[in-house]
Amino acid sequence: MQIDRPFPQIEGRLEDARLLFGRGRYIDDLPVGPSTLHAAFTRSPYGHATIAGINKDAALAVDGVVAVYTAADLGAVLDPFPSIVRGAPEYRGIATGKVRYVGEPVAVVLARDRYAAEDGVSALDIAYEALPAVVDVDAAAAETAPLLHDDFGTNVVWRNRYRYGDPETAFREADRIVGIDLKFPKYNSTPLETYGVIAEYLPETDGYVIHGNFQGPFSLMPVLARALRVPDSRIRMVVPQDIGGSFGIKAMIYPYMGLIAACARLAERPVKWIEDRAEHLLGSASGTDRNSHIEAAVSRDGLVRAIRMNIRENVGAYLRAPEPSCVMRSLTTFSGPYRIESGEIEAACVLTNTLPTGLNRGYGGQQYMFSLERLMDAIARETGIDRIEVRRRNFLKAAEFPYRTTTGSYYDSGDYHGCLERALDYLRNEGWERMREELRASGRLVGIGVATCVHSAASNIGYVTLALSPEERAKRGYNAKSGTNDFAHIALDASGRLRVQIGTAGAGQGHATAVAQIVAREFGLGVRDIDVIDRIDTETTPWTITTGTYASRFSVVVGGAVQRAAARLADHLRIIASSLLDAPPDQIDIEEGMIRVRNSNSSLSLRQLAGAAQWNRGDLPDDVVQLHVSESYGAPNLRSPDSENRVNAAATYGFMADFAMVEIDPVTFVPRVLKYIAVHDVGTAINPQLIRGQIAGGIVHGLGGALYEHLDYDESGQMMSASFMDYLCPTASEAPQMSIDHFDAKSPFTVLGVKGCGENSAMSAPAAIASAVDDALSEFNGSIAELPVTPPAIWRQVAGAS
Amino acid sequence: MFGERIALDLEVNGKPLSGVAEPRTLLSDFLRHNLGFTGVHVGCEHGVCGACTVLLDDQPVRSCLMFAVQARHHSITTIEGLAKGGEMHPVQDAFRRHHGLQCGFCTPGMVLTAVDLIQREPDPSERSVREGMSGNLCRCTGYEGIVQAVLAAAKDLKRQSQSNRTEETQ
Amino acid sequence: MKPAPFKYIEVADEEALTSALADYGDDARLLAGGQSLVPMMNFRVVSPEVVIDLNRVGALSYIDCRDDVCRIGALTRHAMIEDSDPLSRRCALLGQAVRNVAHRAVRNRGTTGGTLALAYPGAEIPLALMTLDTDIILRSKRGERRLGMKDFVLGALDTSLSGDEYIRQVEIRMPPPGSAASFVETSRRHGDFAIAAAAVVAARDDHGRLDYLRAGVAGGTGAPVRLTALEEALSGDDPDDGRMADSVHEAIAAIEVFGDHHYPEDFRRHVLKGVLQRALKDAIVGSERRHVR
Repeated sequence: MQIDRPFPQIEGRLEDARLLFGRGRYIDDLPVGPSTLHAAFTRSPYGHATIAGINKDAALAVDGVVAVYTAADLGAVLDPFPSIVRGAPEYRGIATGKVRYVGEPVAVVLARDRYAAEDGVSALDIAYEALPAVVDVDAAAAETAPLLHDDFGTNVVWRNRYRYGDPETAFREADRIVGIDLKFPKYNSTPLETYGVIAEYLPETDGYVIHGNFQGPFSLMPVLARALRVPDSRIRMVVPQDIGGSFGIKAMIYPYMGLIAACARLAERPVKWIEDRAEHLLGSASGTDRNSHIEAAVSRDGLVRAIRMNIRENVGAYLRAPEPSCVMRSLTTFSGPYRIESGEIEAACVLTNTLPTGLNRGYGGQQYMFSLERLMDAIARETGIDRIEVRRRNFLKAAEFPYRTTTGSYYDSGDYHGCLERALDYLRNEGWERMREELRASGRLVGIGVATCVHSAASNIGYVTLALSPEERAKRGYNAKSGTNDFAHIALDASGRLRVQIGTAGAGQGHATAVAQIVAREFGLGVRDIDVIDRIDTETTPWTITTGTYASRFSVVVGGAVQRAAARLADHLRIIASSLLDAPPDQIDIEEGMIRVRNSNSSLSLRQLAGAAQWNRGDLPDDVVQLHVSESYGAPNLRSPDSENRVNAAATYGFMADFAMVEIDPVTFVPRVLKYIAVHDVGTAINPQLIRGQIAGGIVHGLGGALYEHLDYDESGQMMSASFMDYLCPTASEAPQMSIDHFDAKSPFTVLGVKGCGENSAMSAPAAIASAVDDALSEFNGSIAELPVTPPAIWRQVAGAS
Repeated sequence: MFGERIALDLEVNGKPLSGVAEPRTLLSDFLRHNLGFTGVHVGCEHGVCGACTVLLDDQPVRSCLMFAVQARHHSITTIEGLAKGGEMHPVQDAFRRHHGLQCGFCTPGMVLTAVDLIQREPDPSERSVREGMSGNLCRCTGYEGIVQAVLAAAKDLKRQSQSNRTEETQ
Repeated sequence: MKPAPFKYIEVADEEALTSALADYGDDARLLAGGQSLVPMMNFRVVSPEVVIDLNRVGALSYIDCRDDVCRIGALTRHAMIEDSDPLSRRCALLGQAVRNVAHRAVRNRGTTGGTLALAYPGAEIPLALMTLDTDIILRSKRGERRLGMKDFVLGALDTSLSGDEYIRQVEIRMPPPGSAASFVETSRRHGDFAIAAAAVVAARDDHGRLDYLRAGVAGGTGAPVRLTALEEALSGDDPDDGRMADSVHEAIAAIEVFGDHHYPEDFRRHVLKGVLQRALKDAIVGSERRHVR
């Protein structure tokens, strides 16, 4: 039965009260027993060095220190973490023989508390022999570069080539070829809560209990289980009620879960580790930095016929799962919102003496959208067509959906022209252009920038396998991969209250609230009438290889499962009620906590029904019908890649129209984003407030990458941003005033018509802001090819022009 | 001389409490792990992120930049002590109404900072809210909801104090 | 990020402070606001054997402005300076500078003595004090001595403070009435240490001529620098834009400026000139207005 009601809304969220009262339960708030040891890592001070010797004596003599473990010790119970790329250099999460980046773990000290553990770290005696380091991706790819992994013979750890349509003809027949070289920086989303792990080994079952603020389990659980040499189900993964921000970065905690679990096994005691901020900046994970060339075959009227791209991707000192998927993520929306029917990408992942990379909000999106949108601006500049007009001309039209892109992505729905127009309405109503002219007239450097991008949500696990060639995927014994699915459980208790359990843990997104809204709508109840359990204990929470909070999948996949479970439970209630009220099930309506027979006075409350069904089950007829329902949901249209490397990489595709207004101080060249407009097609909006919150947060993550945040290294491999004094997270003072709106082009494929919104502007904002900086520097022919845009970088452009 | 423990008395959220700490024990760790005030969040331990902000004698301070022994005979307010009788403080309520929090990790520091900001500047402009809150990092909200919440809370508190004053004069 | 163990000595008065410093001086660090020392200890960049906590020496916390001198106790918190009416009336430069120091929670703890003892390049209060006529009163068991700011701050993180000495008081000779101050700083985020900062105070005589001009810069300069040659060159009749630009150019060309990974030397010089010029214009224009009124 299809319910057609709006989603009930509430002021605030179900999660808010406990967080505002200071009663959140984060990993470091969990009680631990007195036998628990506290871990601290000794980390490499060198970018590249041989470990000549480790003497544990002084560290073991420190008051409170219980054990010191190195890779040699941990190797007895911990194998390397499997890589997606066969034959890639071993990744153990701790240095063996050599250190390859500053901050790489070299030893773990276990002690009675963290203070004593750090005393042990200070006392530990490690001799290093420094080696030349290489941090730049192009320098590392050169034949003469110092080798990170001697046995591997090269720093180019993976390369591949993808070709779609007929790029050769398109470039041959192009009226114009527009090409640019770009550098995208290394940064991460830096959740305010750092990593935390509490692990225990259970010898009786050869299993582990691991508490961690992890976004999984998903495909990284098997990676962890392989390394720990146990079946997946022998790891009981418990994610606490609250996580202090995740943003993809918290998925990359898995090597530390392995290391701490191994420590617990060796020490025969539970071990707790809370990462500190310096460790987080030096040793957690980041997005990749990318040097690239992108060029377009363009017709006289500004239509892009094909794109060619060369990507050099810096994956840091090790290629670890899920890399090199960042490159593949670029393929998922390769043509963006445009009709670009041919393309070619040549990509290489290169090892350097820097922090290994991994998931980061937008994963691959920000890198690629920066390229594609910089290219569109360059095409506008070279053809003389207005920046917005050139985009409009290339947009897919509303009538063309669903649309299969050249890389195989199946765009479900959209109205790109309409959504852009809505964003332009904001721009006009707020008088942006007038404001720019007025500010310019008073001597200030002000510019407006644009980005129009497609965001994919609920990714197909199969896109990861594009890392392999079609031939490798065709081999006998190869297990193809595809899909994304999740589950939900819903139960009605004897007092008539509904409780929902889902398999993912949120980290501030408001999952419990959204789930409650979905269920409340189905039963015509209030949002606060629903209880939601959104934490993970893999011992009791069903999960799949794709279960987790990533790739903007929650509302699509988990939301889909919840909707199905709620609808099926409602059907069960109608069947039960039909016997209690003596009416056919399809004549029974459920709303406002009442079960009513249509066009009759006959009714009972949810509480009465629940009481009867729980206490008097024997007198009711059909025992198949229960008061608890589990449902799973697999997102549609997701198959494994074909022999031409085509794959529908995600279940749904939304659209973003972003505008940024930037001011640059004409003397100090300090840039500031004054205003931002984001109008996004997110499909059905379950909760507009949550959507605005996600988009606003994404804007400031993108702002960080565009102007402030940079994990940068000097030539010797020292990180120059290893504290919050130098790693510049934007504050309220740097965040722009925002106008955020959503545009509803429902997905015809997802259960609720939703399209996801978790990553959105984190991907588009760097491009929009770069575009605005160009505009602000138009009198100097400014053209931003590298982020972050720092005052010295602007100064060089201005000085170069004058 | 190392491993020395110092006994200390202090007041937290209006209640006298005591404990024992090494001289080097940070106030943030002492409040969290010795006294159980886990609403004090630790985000950077070098005084930049503001998550560990508490009120020391009603003034906001970074509890990661004080040693526990320094709090002897002082009075501390943590987020747990802000609500009275289970009722949210107007600043907490404004954060709830304006979606001024997502993951909640920066929230205790944000709320306590805002309480002080509004006390010193009862009618702040948006710019002064942005600057006044800029010592506290948030990675989720883009600050949009936070700025709106602080502006709204200032208005609510002003209205409240005006109606209190009216009651007093009546 | 937990500090190494240390011996903790809390002193309640100056006498105890003096003796503790005499006993442990070279192995000890003084803990005042702790807003720089504690982060350094948490990072274990410094691990003193002894920490002498002077936070309970209430006698060192005061602002005393009378006649044309303002005396500020070393333990005076930045927030007290920020909130002090007499100071903002009589010594607006310091009030402006202090508002640029980090954030309120840091200013509630950070102290005048602490920021001077650290001498962090790009720190605001040392720049303001260097620009004004300031003496620093130091004390130890050996006695008391008085140094001008120039003799006190020697370079980045470098001062004349001996191991057994503490900063007792700062004495500022107030600018003349009717003066205008301007503190201009540039940083990428609100509240950060300055990439470049300039401090200027200007006042006029009865005839409207600039007879009092103080100017200083910091950021990439090691210690903050007072620009006396520029002060002389621009005193007298109001400078036109050309004369001001030339003087600024010469002044910044004459000082030592260091580049670093983030901000190369030539960029720093460019920005130093920019903020200095802004501060000069603000203060000179401001003082004119006052004279007219």
